[in-house]
Amino acid sequence: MPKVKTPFLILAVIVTLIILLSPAPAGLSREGQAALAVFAICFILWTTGALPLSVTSLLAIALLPLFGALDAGQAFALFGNRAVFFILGAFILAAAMMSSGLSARVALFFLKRFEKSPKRLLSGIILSCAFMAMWMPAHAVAALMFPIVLEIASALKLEPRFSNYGKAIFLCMAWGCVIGGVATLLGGARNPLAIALLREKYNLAIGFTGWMYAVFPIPLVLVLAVHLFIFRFFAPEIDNVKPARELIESKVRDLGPMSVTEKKVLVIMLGTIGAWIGLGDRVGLAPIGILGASTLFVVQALTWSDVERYVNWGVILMYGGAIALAAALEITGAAKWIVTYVLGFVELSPFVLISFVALISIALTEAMSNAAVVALVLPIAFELGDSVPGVSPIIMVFSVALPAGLAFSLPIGTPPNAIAYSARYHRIRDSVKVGVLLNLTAIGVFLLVARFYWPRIGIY
Amino acid sequence: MSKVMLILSPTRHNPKSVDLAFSLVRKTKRSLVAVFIVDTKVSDAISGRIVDIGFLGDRVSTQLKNAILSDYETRGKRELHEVSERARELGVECETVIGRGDFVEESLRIASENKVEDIIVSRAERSNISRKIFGSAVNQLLERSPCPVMVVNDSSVENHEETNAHTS
Repeated sequence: MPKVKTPFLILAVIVTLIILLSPAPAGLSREGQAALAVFAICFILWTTGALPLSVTSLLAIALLPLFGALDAGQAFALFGNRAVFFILGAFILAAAMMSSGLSARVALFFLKRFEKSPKRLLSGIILSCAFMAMWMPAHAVAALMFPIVLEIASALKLEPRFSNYGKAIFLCMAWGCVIGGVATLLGGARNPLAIALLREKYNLAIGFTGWMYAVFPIPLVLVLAVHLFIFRFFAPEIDNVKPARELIESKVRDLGPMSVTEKKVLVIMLGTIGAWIGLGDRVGLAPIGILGASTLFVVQALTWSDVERYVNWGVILMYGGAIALAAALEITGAAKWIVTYVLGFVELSPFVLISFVALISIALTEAMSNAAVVALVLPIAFELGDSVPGVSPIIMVFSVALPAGLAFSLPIGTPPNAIAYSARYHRIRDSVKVGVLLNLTAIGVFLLVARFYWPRIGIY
Repeated sequence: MSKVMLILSPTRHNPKSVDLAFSLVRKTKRSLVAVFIVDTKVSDAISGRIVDIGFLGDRVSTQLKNAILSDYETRGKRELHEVSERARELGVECETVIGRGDFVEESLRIASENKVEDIIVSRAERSNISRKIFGSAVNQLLERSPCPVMVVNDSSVENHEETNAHTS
């Protein structure tokens, strides 16, 4: 049973009541004040984890009409946002990859090609995690890779907490997943969430290919940076990975030839990705995702009980609620009020604004769910962007969603970090030492991309 | 023969605590109960996080939890085997036990079952403020243990600080 943190719940209630019962400040409507109260309660609960994330989202949906921020019809209609169904389709496709064994085969396929030396094996772990996190949720990749990496550590007789190589393999697993997760719309649900908020406010969209094209330099550089930092700070103390090689080879042998179900899943997955790339802009991402997911059932590659075992339905509540909250902040003028009356005294140039938003997002994501960061920060970032000439809302989407996905330092930041830390092969100070350097590198690369690359491809 | 209990766990292993345990049992001519606690709190927290933040189903979280627990257990067997071998070399009577569950509850249960007279445990370096805010299982053990507990602070290998053992 998840722990309920009562003091934080009481704090959330007190803060909400103070906001609700105070006289409306200048420039803020009663509806805006109500939206702000829901924003405050969600901020506290998402940051502290006092309630499960999805329950906080559900609470937001109930409180928005209850406090008078939105009418009930409007609030519940936002649950049906197309981004929620895109995310649902992506999770079902990922469930098929896991239940059929295809994801494990792809992971081992990669590792087998990098098993020659300690450094190459580390590269294999980074690249396999990053590649797979481009096509399925990064958390799922970390959960899938973790037992394999544990067995490798055990086969190599690495000493927990003292072996540099032991630290390196788990950090490479986590960071590979984190980096891959920003590269496409499938790696992290925060990316489609950000696009949904963009569409709600501006009726603009970023397609599947458009996203990859815009962000690809960032994961590319970060993969290189992870190699550099890992080899520099956790130089392998071993020079032979023969036991790991034997383990990987025996696992590949145990898998045997590809099953019919794996082949079906592979074809449907490739077809769906192809359709997202080729038809996504015209047809929309959600219908393609749902069609791909449905086809898995038609060809009997997946059963409903498989889906229930691999997908937690809280995902719908989480993203539906997050979209409703963000929309309420925009519709009621609460986000505009925060920017005008709370942050209005600061005059920012476009570049400083982008840096500021990216820094806030990367700092927050080390302490809270990255989807929550997008839901809380992006509506305000949109208003900030509108107040500075020359900043497009699309830039704001990237300025929040990309840094929000790049949590490298703390186990609490993102599930891949938490999963890696649970093995106890590294200490928090190990991940912080190099993670902060990766955070800084990520911000640096992001700003260089924003300054020099995006203007060249038409993103201003 | 009276007994000294040495507690190890995935997060609480310090060679100095093992040295201290052997030094004490040899000096006082007692027997050693070496215990490795497979702390399920960690694996429960991680699998809960996978469900709560990762939105993955029970199957994934259960597989993950089992992988963590199985690794901890393998590690425990290895560490206890090392202690047992060392006891044999030194001619010390030694019994080994693997406990699975909450660190404090399991430690107290095994201590009570074996009627131990002293407990030795190590812990990671942390500030007292951090222990107060985030809690400390070793502090709970100190409060609830019916027998004296020696705590070996886990000075890191890097800074070579001296072991700070004290009796509570």
